[in-house]
Amino acid sequence: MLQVNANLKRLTDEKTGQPVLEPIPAWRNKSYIAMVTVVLFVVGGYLTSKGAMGYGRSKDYQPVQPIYYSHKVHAGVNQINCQYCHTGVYQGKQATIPSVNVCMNCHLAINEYKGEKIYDEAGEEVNGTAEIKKLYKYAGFEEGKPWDPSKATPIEWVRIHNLPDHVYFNHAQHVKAGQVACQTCHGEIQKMGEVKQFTDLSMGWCVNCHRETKVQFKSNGFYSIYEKYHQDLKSGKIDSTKGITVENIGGTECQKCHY
Amino acid sequence: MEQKKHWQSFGELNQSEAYNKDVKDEFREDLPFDAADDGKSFLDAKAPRRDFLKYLGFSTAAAAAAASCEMPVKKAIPFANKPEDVVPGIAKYYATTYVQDGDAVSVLAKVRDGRPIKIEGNDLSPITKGGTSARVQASVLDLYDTARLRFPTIDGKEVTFEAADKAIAASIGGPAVILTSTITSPSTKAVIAQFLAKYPGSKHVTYDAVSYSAILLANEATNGVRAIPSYHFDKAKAIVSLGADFLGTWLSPIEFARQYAVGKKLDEKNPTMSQHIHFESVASLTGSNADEKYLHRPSETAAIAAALLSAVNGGSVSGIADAKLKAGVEKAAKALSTNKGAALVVAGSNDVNVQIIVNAINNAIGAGGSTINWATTNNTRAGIDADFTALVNEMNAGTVSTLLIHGANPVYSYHEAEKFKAGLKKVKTVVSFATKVDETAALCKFVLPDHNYLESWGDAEPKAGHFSFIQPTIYPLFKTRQWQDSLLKWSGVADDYLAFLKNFWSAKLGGVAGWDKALQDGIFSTATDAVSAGSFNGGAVAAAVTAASAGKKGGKVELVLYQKVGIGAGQGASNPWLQELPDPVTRATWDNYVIVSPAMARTLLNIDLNNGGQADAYEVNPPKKVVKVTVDGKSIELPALIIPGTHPDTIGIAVGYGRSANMGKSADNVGKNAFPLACSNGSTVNYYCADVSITLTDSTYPVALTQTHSRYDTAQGNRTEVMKELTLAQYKHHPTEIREERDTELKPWGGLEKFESQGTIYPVYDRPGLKWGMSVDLNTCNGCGACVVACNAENNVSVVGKPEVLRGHEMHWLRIDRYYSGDMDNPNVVFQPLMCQHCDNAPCENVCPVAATNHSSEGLNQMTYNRCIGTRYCANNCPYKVRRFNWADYTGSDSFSDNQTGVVNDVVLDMNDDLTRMVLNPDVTVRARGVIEKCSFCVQRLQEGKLKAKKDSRPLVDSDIKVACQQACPTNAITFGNANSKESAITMVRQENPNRQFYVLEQLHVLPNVTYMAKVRNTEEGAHQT
Repeated sequence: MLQVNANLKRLTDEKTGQPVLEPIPAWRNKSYIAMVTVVLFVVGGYLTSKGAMGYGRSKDYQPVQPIYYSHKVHAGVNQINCQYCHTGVYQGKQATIPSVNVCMNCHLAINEYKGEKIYDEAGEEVNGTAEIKKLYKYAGFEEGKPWDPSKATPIEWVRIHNLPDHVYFNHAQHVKAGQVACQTCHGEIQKMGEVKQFTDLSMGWCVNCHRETKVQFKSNGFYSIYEKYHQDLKSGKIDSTKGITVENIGGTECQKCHY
Repeated sequence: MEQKKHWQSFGELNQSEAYNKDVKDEFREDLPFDAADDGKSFLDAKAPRRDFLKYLGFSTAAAAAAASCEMPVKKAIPFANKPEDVVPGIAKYYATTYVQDGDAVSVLAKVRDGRPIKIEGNDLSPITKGGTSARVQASVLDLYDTARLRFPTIDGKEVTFEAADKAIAASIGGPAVILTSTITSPSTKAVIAQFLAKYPGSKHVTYDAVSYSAILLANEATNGVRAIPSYHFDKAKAIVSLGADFLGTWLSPIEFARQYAVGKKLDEKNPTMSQHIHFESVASLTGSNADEKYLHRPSETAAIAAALLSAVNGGSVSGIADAKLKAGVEKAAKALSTNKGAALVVAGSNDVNVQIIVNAINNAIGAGGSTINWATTNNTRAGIDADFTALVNEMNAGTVSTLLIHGANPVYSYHEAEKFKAGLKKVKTVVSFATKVDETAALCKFVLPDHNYLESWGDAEPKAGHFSFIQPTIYPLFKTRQWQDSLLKWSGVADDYLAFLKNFWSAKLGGVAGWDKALQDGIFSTATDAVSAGSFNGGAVAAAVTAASAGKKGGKVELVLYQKVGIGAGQGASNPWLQELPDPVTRATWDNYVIVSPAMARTLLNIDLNNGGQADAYEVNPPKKVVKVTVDGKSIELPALIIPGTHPDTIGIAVGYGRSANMGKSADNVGKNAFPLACSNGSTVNYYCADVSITLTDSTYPVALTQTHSRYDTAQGNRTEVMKELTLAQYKHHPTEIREERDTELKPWGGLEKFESQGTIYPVYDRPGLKWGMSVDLNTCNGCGACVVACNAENNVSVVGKPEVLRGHEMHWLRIDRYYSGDMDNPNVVFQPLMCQHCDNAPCENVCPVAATNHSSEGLNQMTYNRCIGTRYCANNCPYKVRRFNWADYTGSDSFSDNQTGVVNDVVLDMNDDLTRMVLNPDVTVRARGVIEKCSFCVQRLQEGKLKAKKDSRPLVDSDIKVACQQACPTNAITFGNANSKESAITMVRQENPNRQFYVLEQLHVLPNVTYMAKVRNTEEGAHQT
């Protein structure tokens, strides 16, 4: 438009006999420069802030662990309940990573891997039996001899799911009270070899879920105190297919997670 | 404008210029621009706009560069063998016992992932019933004290315990003396007995830093037992105290505070209360709570006791010149006589004659068997001054060859410390079991540090038949050993102390199961409900009365040495939480000082508090005039604080300060030691001096007083009364007075009923489900400060150090405001704990530009630290002034560590040591510099309690949640819960007390969720008409 304007001005100038100024090239034209600067600023700012917000998020993080522990073999093929190892998940904040003695409950007897061949991310075959031997090393266990648990040393797993320190997250709240399946946040863990971070664990992701997820409004006695909501549900004032979401009972307020 | 009835400071009383200027600003200092100093404009400052932009650019670039580094790899390391009952992230509570010298309080230690992080009272204890004190609450920090001795030493050099044992075995020999503070542990007494038997001629001497010898000796004289009985303030309708600070520091304050509150709790339908008349010389916590208080010189104590005895026996009050005081004694006598069988007199004096007379009064008013129980004696103080004096003489005579010291610290607390030091040099083998190299341990060849109580095994018997057990809550942090183990070893016993303890108890408790149960409960009781009046023998009374009348007359000025609630006899001096706890009476932190009366201030300091300008000059500027106090050639120079409620001719100095630098950063160079000013009257140590000289020096010294911080008034200066107070007579006459007053005030906006909806243009929101509410009973709150320290511990509240308190930067989420009313020389005092009021129409919320503070559907005023950008608008707009700003990096949480250098002092840096940080509550964010924080109603506990109920699939009940201040309170003055529930305690309390209930600054329509219940004082006169 600026160009059209300039051309028109030149034409009128020529017509009226005004002296015609030499047109300023685009790269020196202040208007052009200003326009480009603004566009660059907006686009750059958007990208920078988006990038900055993404820092610290690590979706798809899949580090190499000290032992190739396959959830696929344990939880998938062998159908071991998550809670068997992650004992804290119904009780407290942390689901807890099992200690060596929990591993050894089974692996005292299971000392070789006989299942289907397993492959790591790079497609290379993993020797399951060798990985079990690694566990024995941590446990201080020598095959054929009785195991002395006091010889065990902890396994230094690489932590995958990291929440910032100012976020309070409690597994029991979600899994026990909220009846949320492990897979909702951790993905199809029973199909994973080494664990990969399934979600970005961003606040937006948390809040979205809190907006959509229904609480156990009728089955959990705690919510009986919300008399008004119960009446509204009965009378149809609240859509019973939508139910009472976490947000309805204050689940998106700051101090539910930040304190 | 009309003068307000209650005043917090002299400026407020006088409505002085500086006060009125001050209250309009939340933040008392100018912004920290360099230019502000020399009055130049902002652009001429050392860091002008261009520099500012440069810094801005650099820091943005630096932050971007720092943030684009790779994420650090974090490890998740589980247990190798997980103990079955430990769940990471879930706290365990272990019953144990706080033991500090003679004091023994049953507590629960909250252990999170192996670290004790909080102390709670043990509800099963029949003595405290779950109450705690500031000192008990703060004790968990002592475990992580960086100044603790970390290994045994010989001549200050590290050795192993084996080497120390060997060296001591070679040099130990009889006669040995074990010098301890009072020991209530029966098993430790047995251990000591074994040791004494091994070295014939040995003995055990008990020494208390603040002696209770006189009570013990007086009881021996009149009742034939050298013991202290149980007192029952709950059963007393009339209480007279002669200078006994039984709510703060005297004998067993947690127990007494709870009992006292029973008598002070008001049933609105049937209003009766106990009456408490207090005689004292220097304003104390207990005196501040009394219904009536009379001031006297300390040298008059015996005369008052004698006059009171004469009066309760129907005689006349003689020997008291002051008319007011005489009337007070008559009144006290009348109160005691009319409540015979339900009356109690206690005295804080360490003079045997005074205590004998008090025993005679108690006998005359039938206290024995009702308010005094001899069947259950109090074991917490047992030291006899004469025993210790004899020991010092023996040491100086060279007849003691071995001295083992545990708990006692005479080099610091004995008034003739030089004599003790000289004696110490003549003892061949001196072993100290101190946990730190305290003043005495520094002079001992061998120091074998004892465990902290949270690392120990043990037992205690604070009252006869009431046992309390100690179990470790953490593996010993350092190379320390329980001193009982050392004694057993040196006695040649093969058992260690744990085996000894189990042996000692298993038969008594019925085997292992009984032992386990006792440990789990933390307490075990063989005491019965039997009450014994004791047998009184008045033989010694006449002589005591004669001695009283012949007592030394005081000089022009007299001195009282007192203990502070937090610091005690110096045990709390090395604890930063206690140092920063404002003293309930003086509101001062981090120092001791000379307390003078307003009358003495006029003559000595040339400050007339009724003169606005002079009061301002005193009050607004932290530097206080320093005075020199001289007693028998010993002198001490300290700043003077003017405290109403102090006798005009008496001054007071707190003991417990002036500790050695070895005690830790927070004790180093704080205050001065006043113990040397005490003197012996021949048989006992007196903590007062009848004749001292006091002179004004030229120097000044800054005292970190919080009295004038956190004040507020509107720009128009029309803030109305915050405090509501009645007398019992007024209440009986017109119970609904406060309610009607509130209704009248709110009339223009719909009155009480419709105020919420009509007083605002905002909509009224629904609170489905939960709505948190708190109620504070000002009648039972005695201002002791346990809640303040509990809040610090629970919520990771930073210690800021003295320089920062001086600038009004203290971070306490909960403060206890002290209000005076009436006569300036002897005013009434009311304490009001003030925390965030969680206003439903909160003025802080609508001014936050980033919505970092907003309201929850449960009625919480939420503060989100990670969203806060530090504009401080909210704090400006808060009418209660309860929001705190992190002016500096108090917690060491900044990425750049040198942000702390030169900004915060050593105490704060010490709080950031890796060791000290172990005390932090992992459920609460550690706040960074530049954000606002405030009371959250312990939201972490609310969430935990709710989750507990959800896991059990049931509605929330009161027992699921106790907020930290509520739990710590020894008098249950604080009620908290779901105000939407019909059965909850908070609903009950509000329903049952409609007449006394009020909101602070209700007329602002901020709709607070904290209700207060007005103070009712059991007096006839001195009452106001509101």
